[in-house]
Amino acid sequence: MKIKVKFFSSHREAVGRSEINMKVDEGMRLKELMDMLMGSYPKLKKLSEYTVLSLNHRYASGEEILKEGDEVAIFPPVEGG
Amino acid sequence: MMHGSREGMKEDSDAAKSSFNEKTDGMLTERDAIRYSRQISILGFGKEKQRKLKSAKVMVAGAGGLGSAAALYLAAAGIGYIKIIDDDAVELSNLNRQIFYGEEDIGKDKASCAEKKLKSMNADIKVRGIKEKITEDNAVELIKDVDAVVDCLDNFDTRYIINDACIKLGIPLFHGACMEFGGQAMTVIPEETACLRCIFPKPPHKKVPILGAVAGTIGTIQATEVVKFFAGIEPALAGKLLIYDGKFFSYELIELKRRENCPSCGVSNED
Repeated sequence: MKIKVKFFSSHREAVGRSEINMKVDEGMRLKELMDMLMGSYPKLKKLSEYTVLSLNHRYASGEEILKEGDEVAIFPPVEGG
Repeated sequence: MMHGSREGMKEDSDAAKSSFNEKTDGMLTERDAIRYSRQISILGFGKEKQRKLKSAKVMVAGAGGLGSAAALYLAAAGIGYIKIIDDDAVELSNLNRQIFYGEEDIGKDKASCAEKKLKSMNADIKVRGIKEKITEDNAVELIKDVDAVVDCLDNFDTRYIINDACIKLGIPLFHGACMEFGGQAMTVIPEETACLRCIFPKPPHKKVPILGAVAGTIGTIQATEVVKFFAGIEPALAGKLLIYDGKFFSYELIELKRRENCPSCGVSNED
């Protein structure tokens, strides 16, 4: 099935692209997708501790099962002021 | 049990608010009507909503990059009372983003410089600068007499303290944070929307570089949310997280949910 993954800020820099269209297996969980992405993009793995996820514009824990046409967003929470 | 003590604090808070409101409530002056005419004339705004801003009491926590932008716009908009708190002194490296200050302020207390700047911008509002570090021991005392808190802090340890105090007292919290070219903002309405601990259970990156204009962008988004809240216009970021990327000019608006086991606002903490 096809899904879209969007990257923001430092995560976008780590991947070198703003978004990726991907084909993934039925029944894949969001956290499994993250493991796959971190395998493909080592710089993304370095940011794994500082990553917030959303699925179809809703905050996501990683446990969600992906569906055809889903849109995932990956971004860093920030601290400065 | 906690609910009972929260009610007690709420009563103290209400008493402090009514004592303030006796001094500031009332019709807008002719000068107010002219001063704020460009926003009063916004469709659906009007003099009544401007009067609500005049009665509002807001604490800006942190007088840095976010706090400079947020507080200046809140003062310009006619928020009746602004309490601004920061325990630092102005440094040369602050000046790329902290537009409260100029070179002549280096070495001076941020709180008193910020107070002076806000008063010079708008003599018709009340302003108080407080040089104090926000701690678990003083947070409730510091915020109990305000109607809203704007989180313009630069670290999550203090953000959690302010978040917890706001949840305890039922006071809305307008969060903002930034890093390099990006930032985030969300509005916390206690007992209704997710709080900071629901969404960020672990503190993010430490000490970060920031482009000044990005701090200004996020700070003014926070100010917009505060003004809308007091004007009775639903804050668009209540229960939502705005992620802003100023390098590529993209953003994402994410719907948030309260976390049941949140140590601050979780349902299991309410009885």
